[in-house]
Amino acid sequence: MTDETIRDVLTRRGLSRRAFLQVCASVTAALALSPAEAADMTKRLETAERPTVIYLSYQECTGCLESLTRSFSPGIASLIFNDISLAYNDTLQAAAGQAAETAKDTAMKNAWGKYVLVVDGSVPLAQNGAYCAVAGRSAVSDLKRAAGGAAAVVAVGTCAAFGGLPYAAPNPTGAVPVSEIVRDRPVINISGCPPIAEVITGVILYYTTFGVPALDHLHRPMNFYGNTIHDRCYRRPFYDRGMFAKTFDDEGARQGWCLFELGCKGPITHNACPTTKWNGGTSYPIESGHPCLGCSEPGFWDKGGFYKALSTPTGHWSRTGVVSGAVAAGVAAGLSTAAVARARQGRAQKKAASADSEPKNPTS
Amino acid sequence: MPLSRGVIPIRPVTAGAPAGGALADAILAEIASALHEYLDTRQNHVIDLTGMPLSREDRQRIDAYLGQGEVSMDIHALVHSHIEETAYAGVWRVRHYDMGGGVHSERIEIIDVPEIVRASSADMAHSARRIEALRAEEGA
Repeated sequence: MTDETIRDVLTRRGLSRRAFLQVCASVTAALALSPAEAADMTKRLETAERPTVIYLSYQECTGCLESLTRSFSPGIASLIFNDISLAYNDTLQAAAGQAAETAKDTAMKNAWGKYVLVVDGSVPLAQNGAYCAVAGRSAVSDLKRAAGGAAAVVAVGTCAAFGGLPYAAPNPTGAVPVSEIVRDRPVINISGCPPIAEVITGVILYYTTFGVPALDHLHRPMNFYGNTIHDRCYRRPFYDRGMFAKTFDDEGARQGWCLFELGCKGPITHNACPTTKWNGGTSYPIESGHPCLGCSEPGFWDKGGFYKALSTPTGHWSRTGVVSGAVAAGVAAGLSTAAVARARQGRAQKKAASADSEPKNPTS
Repeated sequence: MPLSRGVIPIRPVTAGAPAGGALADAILAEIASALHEYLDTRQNHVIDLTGMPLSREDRQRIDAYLGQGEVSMDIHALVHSHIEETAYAGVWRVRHYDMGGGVHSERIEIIDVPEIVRASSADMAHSARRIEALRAEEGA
């Protein structure tokens, strides 16, 4: 790992401080930082060492990487992620076979103890991990080895964060989330199927400048997962007035009323979709007329049907207490869920403010 | 019988959510207080509109309130940025565009000149070196 800063990289590419400030504006807007925090981040990014990111993929569909690389503002997201920090990614690189394994070993060795390990996909444990193996090594042993040299681990996508689709009943491969394998260093979960590209790059840059962000009880950054979809939904006024679409082609659907009765999981789903939006800020599922599937929550596919309203009995029992608790709260009252989320965000921010008084610098 | 609503069902669609423009009023109050703050302490202030759930009414009201001022500038660095002063001196609208022409960051800044406009000392030092190199090359 070099001692180069992010600012140095831009200067070397012939870009001015104005370009650097454009990068900062993009990142601080994506992170929804307060003006004071944004100014602080700009100051820190001037001197912060260029982060090294090693990206490993296990049981996944590559949708998360698609989300990242098909970002509609390729200029800044890809500059930060691909050009500045990405040291290894087996899908994007040209090398294959032994050359790829050597590249991975070299990248890890050069930044041992300092790199950010991004993991995409769940890790199968059944049959001694035989369901997913790379270069003759099982995913579980590969992850343990790579995590050994990581300053922090970022689990990208619902598969890595909560087990995802491979974890769905009956979970034939014995898939588990990254946090069940890596227990001795910080794991930041960026859930979503896939997560929003700006959220992935934003969290990595936040970690570079301020250290581990404030996390919720499922280890997701509060900046992006502190509110429910329902909290920030532009259709919320219709929910409050009891104006619901009953079918996809009725008057309510045409008028853009609340999709709760069509199965919207917005009240129990924490994500940044209503504000950050998708496809370069174009829209998000509810804005396009479809209920939220709840893809950033654990076990979203095992909740009995995407089009069943939250208050409808599903006949399914969720396997994790955390999820069933959240569902119960959502069924009881969408409003109280929102209140709980806001209270939790406040608490976590206070906690983080006191814990982060001494900023973490992965390079020192 | 003339064509009527009874023959061809006409469903009028009212535009916009019933959210109103309350946020625009709050932003205007914030700008006023930031102007006082700047005059007293020289502390600049930034209101980032990018992540705010603004309704269409909010946007229309912000545009109507702020209007257009005397200065507008364009920066062509990594991406295109457009900066314009509003009808109020020291209240600037700064928009950064992505490669596709969409706005990816939009903010209101309260300061004498937005920081991004100033040439940095590092860049000016770099310019001096470049000019010296050019002169040396031409002299040789």
